[in-house]
Amino acid sequence: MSTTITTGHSLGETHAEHHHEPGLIGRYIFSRDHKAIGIQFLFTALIFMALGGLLALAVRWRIAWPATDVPIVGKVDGAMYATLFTMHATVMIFFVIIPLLVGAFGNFVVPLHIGARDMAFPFLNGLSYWIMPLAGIIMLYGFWLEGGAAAGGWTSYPPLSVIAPNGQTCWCISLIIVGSSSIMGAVNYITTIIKMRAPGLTFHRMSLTVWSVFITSILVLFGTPVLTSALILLILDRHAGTTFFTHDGQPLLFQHLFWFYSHPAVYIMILPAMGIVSDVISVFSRKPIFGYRAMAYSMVGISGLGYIVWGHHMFQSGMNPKLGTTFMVSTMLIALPSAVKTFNWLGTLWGGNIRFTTPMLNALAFVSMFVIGGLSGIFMAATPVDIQIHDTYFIVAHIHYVLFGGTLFGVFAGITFWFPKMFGKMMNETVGKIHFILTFIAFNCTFFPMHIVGAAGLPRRYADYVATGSSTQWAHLQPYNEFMTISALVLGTAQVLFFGNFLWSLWKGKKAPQNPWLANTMEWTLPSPPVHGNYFPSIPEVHRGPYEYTSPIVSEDYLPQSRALDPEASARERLLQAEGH
Amino acid sequence: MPEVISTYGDEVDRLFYIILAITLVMLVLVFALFGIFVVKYRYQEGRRAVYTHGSSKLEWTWTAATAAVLIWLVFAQRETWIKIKQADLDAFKNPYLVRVFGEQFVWHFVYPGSDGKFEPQDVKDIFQGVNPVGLKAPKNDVYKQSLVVPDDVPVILEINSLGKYDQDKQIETVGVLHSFFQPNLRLKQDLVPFHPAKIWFQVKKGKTGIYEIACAELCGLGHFTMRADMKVLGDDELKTELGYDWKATPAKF
Repeated sequence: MSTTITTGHSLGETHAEHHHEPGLIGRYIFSRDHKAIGIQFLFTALIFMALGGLLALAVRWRIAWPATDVPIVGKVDGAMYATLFTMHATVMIFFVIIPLLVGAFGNFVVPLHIGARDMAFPFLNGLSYWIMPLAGIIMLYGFWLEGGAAAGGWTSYPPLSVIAPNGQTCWCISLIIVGSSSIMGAVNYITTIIKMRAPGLTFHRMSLTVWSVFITSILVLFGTPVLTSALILLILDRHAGTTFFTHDGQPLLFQHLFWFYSHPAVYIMILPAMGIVSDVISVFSRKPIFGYRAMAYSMVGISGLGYIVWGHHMFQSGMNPKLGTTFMVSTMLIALPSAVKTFNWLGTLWGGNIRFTTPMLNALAFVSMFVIGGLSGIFMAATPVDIQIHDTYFIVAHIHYVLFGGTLFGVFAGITFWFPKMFGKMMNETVGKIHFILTFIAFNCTFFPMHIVGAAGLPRRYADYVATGSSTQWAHLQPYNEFMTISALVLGTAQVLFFGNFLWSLWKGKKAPQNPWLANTMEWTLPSPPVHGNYFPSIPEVHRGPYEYTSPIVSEDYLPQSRALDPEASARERLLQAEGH
Repeated sequence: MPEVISTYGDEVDRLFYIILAITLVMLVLVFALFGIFVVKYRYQEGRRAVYTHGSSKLEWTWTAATAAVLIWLVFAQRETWIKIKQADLDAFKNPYLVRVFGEQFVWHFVYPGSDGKFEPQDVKDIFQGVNPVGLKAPKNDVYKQSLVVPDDVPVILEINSLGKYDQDKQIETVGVLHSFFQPNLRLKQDLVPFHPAKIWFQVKKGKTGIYEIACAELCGLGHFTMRADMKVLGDDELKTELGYDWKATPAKF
């Protein structure tokens, strides 16, 4: 409980009861405990999520009803509009999704899942959190500068981003800092996972969540410095008179560097969600993961291929068209591990005894929406087809099916799944399910029509499709735009239920038992929430993989990783393991 | 998808529909299995789930099948891409040439004029309203804010991004990225400042009319206002519009 309250405290909320306990500030606000840091990431990212969501609604409003003022924001001109969508994407990617997946779940779950007392470098861990809100403040500071915050899109291609007002510099500095936060986290996760696993926990007994964070961290470690260097060059072009990306330089160089990070970043933004969803699906199907090794190795495959597909963002950019074919091949191939994962999720459901809890519903939504998002990617991978749909709403549909339909449903699954362990309280299931259904329907109504208008050529990043003087060849699609905006408003409103449920359950939720979902991984052998240092008196010994549900050895339908069996059962288990189970 | 007017547009559409068909089959298959499993294996008191860790035979089968489809797709797409983006532009007989300049937030089109030669261009020679793209001898070329092209003839565009020049302060603002996008042609190509490129298309015979060119790469605050008409004209109308007979003197870049 103390964790909950003091985390609120760290966000500037006042909890009078704690003001006379200064010791807690050191222990929890500038905490080095991975659970507290994970929860700090969670709260911060959720606040940014509300901000990013409101920005998106303002963008949608302007598209649907360009002649009217946007509520709260007021009149939105072309400049303001560009700022809105730039900030929406930047906030959601760098301050919501990555901190949630890697910062919040990585921190909270990884040490618990591997039976460690904490991360390898607790101070570095705290630092990686604290520079994240700092970066957010620097970026938002751009709003008060002349010319406003960055408005070059989240991709910020030069030369436009070289000649843009100073909000762009804030944006660059902010991303360098938040990238450093990611790198610190990545170093920490890699070290922790390699060095600090409990006895008996081989790599092939790790949960897929741990696998996913491990692979993601490797992606972060190798990709982020490239983005950082591109951003430094951009700052030099802006302020030091260099011409890396203009004049004698090469505007496309920035795109290469940017996508060399940002395409792997798309996997950084989905792999941990895949891991979380795999765990949740196995728990609630009461079945072992179908093809565990294929699941783990396909993530390795995705990360490897993820580094050689960046050029598919640049098919129409003026890059040598011969390279287009090369990148088409690698991009088509990356669909393969994704397909393998999908089939394995289906295999896991097959023959299960599926419990439709809120986390499970969200995890199932992840799978179904990821299928749509993955398949629509094939259209873009095909170079000739991409000519038509590049930079249209088809792309917007694709990215949102992957990152909202995929990742955010994965995040909802993760939050509702681990909430009891994080805070010792249960979330309300009924509200959770209503939130799920509304979100699922409104999400599809918002983003599915984007495929249709995108195939018709509707370009993205347009403030107005109907005004005279603008491109009006898509004016007949305006009813679609209005429908999508109304759906987006419903979608946004539905999130009030989530935030309400979250806060209400923190305060008044039913007390959570130690293992509410009857799950196997080791965090569920600990009290909810676990104490600082996790495993007392000693680190548990791991006897088996994390997915031994419905094992024939025991009468219950689950068999925790660290449970010791009597000699006879233990012998039977070794026999099963030898058979490949 | 909007009406196709280019000779290669139908191929693009065919490839689009091939992928659509394949992905729809996959989608229906996955969703059907998903639906069946979710209903059939829903929670029942006292039932135990099947204890299995997978089947490598099954896994290899679906991996190989998916790989085969994906690789086939690559080969199916390749040719059209080469045709559109890697064509040998010198091989076209008597192509119709236009220089295209994208500027924040206007399109400029320069035609070679009756002498068949394009004038040299320099950003420092830009005078708003008089010489909008900075041609050395602005009278020899024909300048328009719309693209006029014939049907049934290969058209080659040299595309370039144009910066701005302030004659009073003698300050140059560099050009930014734009993207030439004409959905009916199924053609899109970015304009990269300092790096001109050439693209081609051929309008199908008889597809005369007025179409719209849009900018598809964020180029700033007025990005959405960057539009131009593309007029596909018959021979006589084109002659009137240009003020000369383009076929009389073959043009060169």
